Amino acid sequence: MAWGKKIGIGIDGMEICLSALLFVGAVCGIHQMQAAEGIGLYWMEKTGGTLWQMNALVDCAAAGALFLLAFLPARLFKHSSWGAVSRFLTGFLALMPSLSMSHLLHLFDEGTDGFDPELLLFALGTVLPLVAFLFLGVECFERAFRGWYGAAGILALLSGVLMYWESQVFGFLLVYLFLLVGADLWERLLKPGRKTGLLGGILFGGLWVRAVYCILMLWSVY
Amino acid sequence: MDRTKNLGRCVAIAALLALVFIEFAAHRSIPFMMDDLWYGTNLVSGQPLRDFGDIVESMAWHFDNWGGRVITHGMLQLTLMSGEWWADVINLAATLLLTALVCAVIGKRSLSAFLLIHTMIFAWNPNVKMSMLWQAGAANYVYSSVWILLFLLPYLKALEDPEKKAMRGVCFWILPAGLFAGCSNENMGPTCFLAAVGVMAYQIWQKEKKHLPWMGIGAGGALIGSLFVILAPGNFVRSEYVARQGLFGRMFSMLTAAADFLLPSALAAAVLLALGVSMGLPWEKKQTVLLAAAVLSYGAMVLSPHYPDRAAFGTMILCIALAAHAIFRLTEQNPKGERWLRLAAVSLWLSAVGRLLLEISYVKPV
Repeated sequence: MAWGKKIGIGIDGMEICLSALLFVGAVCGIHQMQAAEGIGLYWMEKTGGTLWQMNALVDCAAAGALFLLAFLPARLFKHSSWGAVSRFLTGFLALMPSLSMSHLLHLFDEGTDGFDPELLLFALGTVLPLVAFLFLGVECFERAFRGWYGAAGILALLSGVLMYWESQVFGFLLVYLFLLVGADLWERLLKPGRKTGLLGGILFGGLWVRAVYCILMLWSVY
Repeated sequence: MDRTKNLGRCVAIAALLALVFIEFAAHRSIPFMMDDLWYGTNLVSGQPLRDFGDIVESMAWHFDNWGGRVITHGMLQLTLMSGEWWADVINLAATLLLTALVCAVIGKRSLSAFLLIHTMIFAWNPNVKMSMLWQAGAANYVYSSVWILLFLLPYLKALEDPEKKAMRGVCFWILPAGLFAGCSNENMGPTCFLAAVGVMAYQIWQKEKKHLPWMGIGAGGALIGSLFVILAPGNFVRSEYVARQGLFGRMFSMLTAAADFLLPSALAAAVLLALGVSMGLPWEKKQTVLLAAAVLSYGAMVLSPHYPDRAAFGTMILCIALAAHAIFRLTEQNPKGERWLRLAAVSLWLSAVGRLLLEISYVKPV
């Protein structure tokens, strides 16, 4: 923190810079994925455009979707800072299961991909306990429950059930819902005057390292 | 209130019994395989093990030709000789004993602590099959972790309350415990020695000399065990058969261990410890020892030619001890937070049971 303050960007600024690096890395990974899976080629045949144009379009759409998925929670919970966006983006890239783009493309014409228990076990064994510990932390300072948490919980359960039919998409949805709750709790823990800077730093650092690992794995696959 | 407490207790007992039952079924479903089949023979003659003499002969050969973990592999051969049924019973007993030792290390002896820690061992384990269900894995990681915690326990107790009497008979059993812990494996053995030396140095600095004699004996045992396991001539023979990694490969395997194998346990421990600090809970000396041991045991793997997921087991146990200790301290300070502890416990239990059932179903496809 002291180093960040010394050069005048603060802890939020450092987190924004580090997560921007992740964003660039993730977009490169997405480009490799879509190129390998022939998504641009598919649209080229469908629309008659050039491959270069279609690749660029798919990359931009994927980058925009990634940004929106990371940006929306901050807007939704009224945490109006880029630091909040960068923290959620880091958690998102670290913990979300990767979703194949060709799977998304053929979602409605190829039927279902069957149940993958690993996704459910990851959500139950890693993501939900971490969210529960954040709840525990927030409860130490204030009452944590909000009405929409119940709705998120019901949706999470529903998507857990739906995983039997459409594993990848609903596994993604399940973890995303847990992360939404976790992101709100994380921001509430970091409120000024709570001496939770160390907690925020550790959580951000741990998830950042994990996100780097996930991006490297994505690169190595595609 | 009493009725609710009794109901909670009944649910906890039922959950523990169900977990132990499924755990035993998972042990039963994994037969002796891979290295077990080799260790099930006299390593010199290649004939099936017949008596203790065969095991001693194999241990001597192993030391010269395949590595220094002779005590661990001697134990493995003993269990292999006892047959699959008894090996499974011993594995189950060792896992329960390991859970009890983690409870003793964090100073929390209750049913809920036992259930939570036992559940974490399965839910946060990067490879349940190869570290706990496979016989060679159980001997290398579960049994070794038992010796390690048994060795560290009296040190942590003396550190916590130097005025208190040492554990019963510690002067007699600390030497074999040190030898066994030192011999356990290449990263946890030296970690045990350094942890013991660290505690001794702190006692000397605090001018508390009451426990130093047995502490010195134990540290000596751990040192001898570590040297034995690291300097065995068999290590150099074996290393010729292991593919060498470059610098990038080594760094990536360390990153994989931190970000994948140890992610849930290490991150949960770090978050909960930081939460405790934020809440103003006093930092305990045993937290320093456990944290340092976890970091050392992870860092020591830089020296290893490769870092398989099962090798993270010892570090994971230390992280679980840190996380569980922090959770119980936080909920003691804020009893209302117990409901989130229950949510985490239920989620972890489902994950643990799911992973065990998955192992059973992989072996016996429907």
